[in-house]
Amino acid sequence: MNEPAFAGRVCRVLDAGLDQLPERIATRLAAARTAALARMPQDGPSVRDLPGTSTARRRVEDPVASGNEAAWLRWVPVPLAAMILAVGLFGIWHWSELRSAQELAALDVAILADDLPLSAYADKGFGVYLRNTGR
Amino acid sequence: MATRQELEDFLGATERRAFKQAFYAVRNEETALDLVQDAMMRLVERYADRPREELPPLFQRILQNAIYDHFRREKVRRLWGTLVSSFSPGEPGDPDESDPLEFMEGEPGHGLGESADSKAEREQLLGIIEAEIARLPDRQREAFLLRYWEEFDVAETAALMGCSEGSVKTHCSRATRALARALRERGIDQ
Repeated sequence: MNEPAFAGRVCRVLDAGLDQLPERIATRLAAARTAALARMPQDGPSVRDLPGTSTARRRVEDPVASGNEAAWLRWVPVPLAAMILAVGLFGIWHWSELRSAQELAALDVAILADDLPLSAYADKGFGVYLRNTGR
Repeated sequence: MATRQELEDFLGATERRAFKQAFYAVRNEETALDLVQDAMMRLVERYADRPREELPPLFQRILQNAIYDHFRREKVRRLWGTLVSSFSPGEPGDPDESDPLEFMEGEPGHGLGESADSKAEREQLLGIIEAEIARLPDRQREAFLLRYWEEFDVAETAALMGCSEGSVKTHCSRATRALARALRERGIDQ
């Protein structure tokens, strides 16, 4: 079998079938084409084709470029959200570290001040210890 | 840069084939129409400044991406990922290498003196071929239609499909063989 020849015949059948598309589909396609072309902002020569049009002006008025900018702007919230998340996480970590340091400092102060808790005096073993050592 | 008229002519000449391509892939008229409309809008919005000759591959790329996106959304929506076709031929060589469409003579659908019987046969043939094309695995169908219907060369088809030229040739060959065999099995073999 000759592949290109066979494929060509298949495609000719498909081409012939294009003329048999239902009217409603042909109408919808035409409407879609019209709607798409309506997205071109200007009829006739575009701003970029006009003589003496500056690049800066073109950038402002070029619909394709502005579409790209819009697409670019759509990505702005992603890094912004990531940054906010990172700052938030750092804040939580910092607060947790600070709290832990404060707790350690309070313990250190208690040890250095030699403050015994009341429960130590009520402990029998502690009383025996004091008698034996003569304190 | 393509003028508005060139864009309109291009879209007018392409829209029906684009619809058929989308329809073969998604098998739903409304969805296919939506996909083609989206592709048209994207082309006009984003690539209206490109030269006329760049429009066909750009439009095909946009359309194929739209079809892929549709399948991705469907996959997520339905939570089943079995859109991969199970119609893979995997033929180790056809017993009959004859062309099942050999009997077709001349250009179909253009015969002025075509009889009613002949027209009915042709419509039946079209229905069968379209059904078989729709049954091809996605990549085979895509390669076959881009290469032979849209008439892109192998390198362009490979670029559009994001695969190697060898893969395009393999997909096209398998698609052609699968179509030929399917037509033969339907009795279209003389």
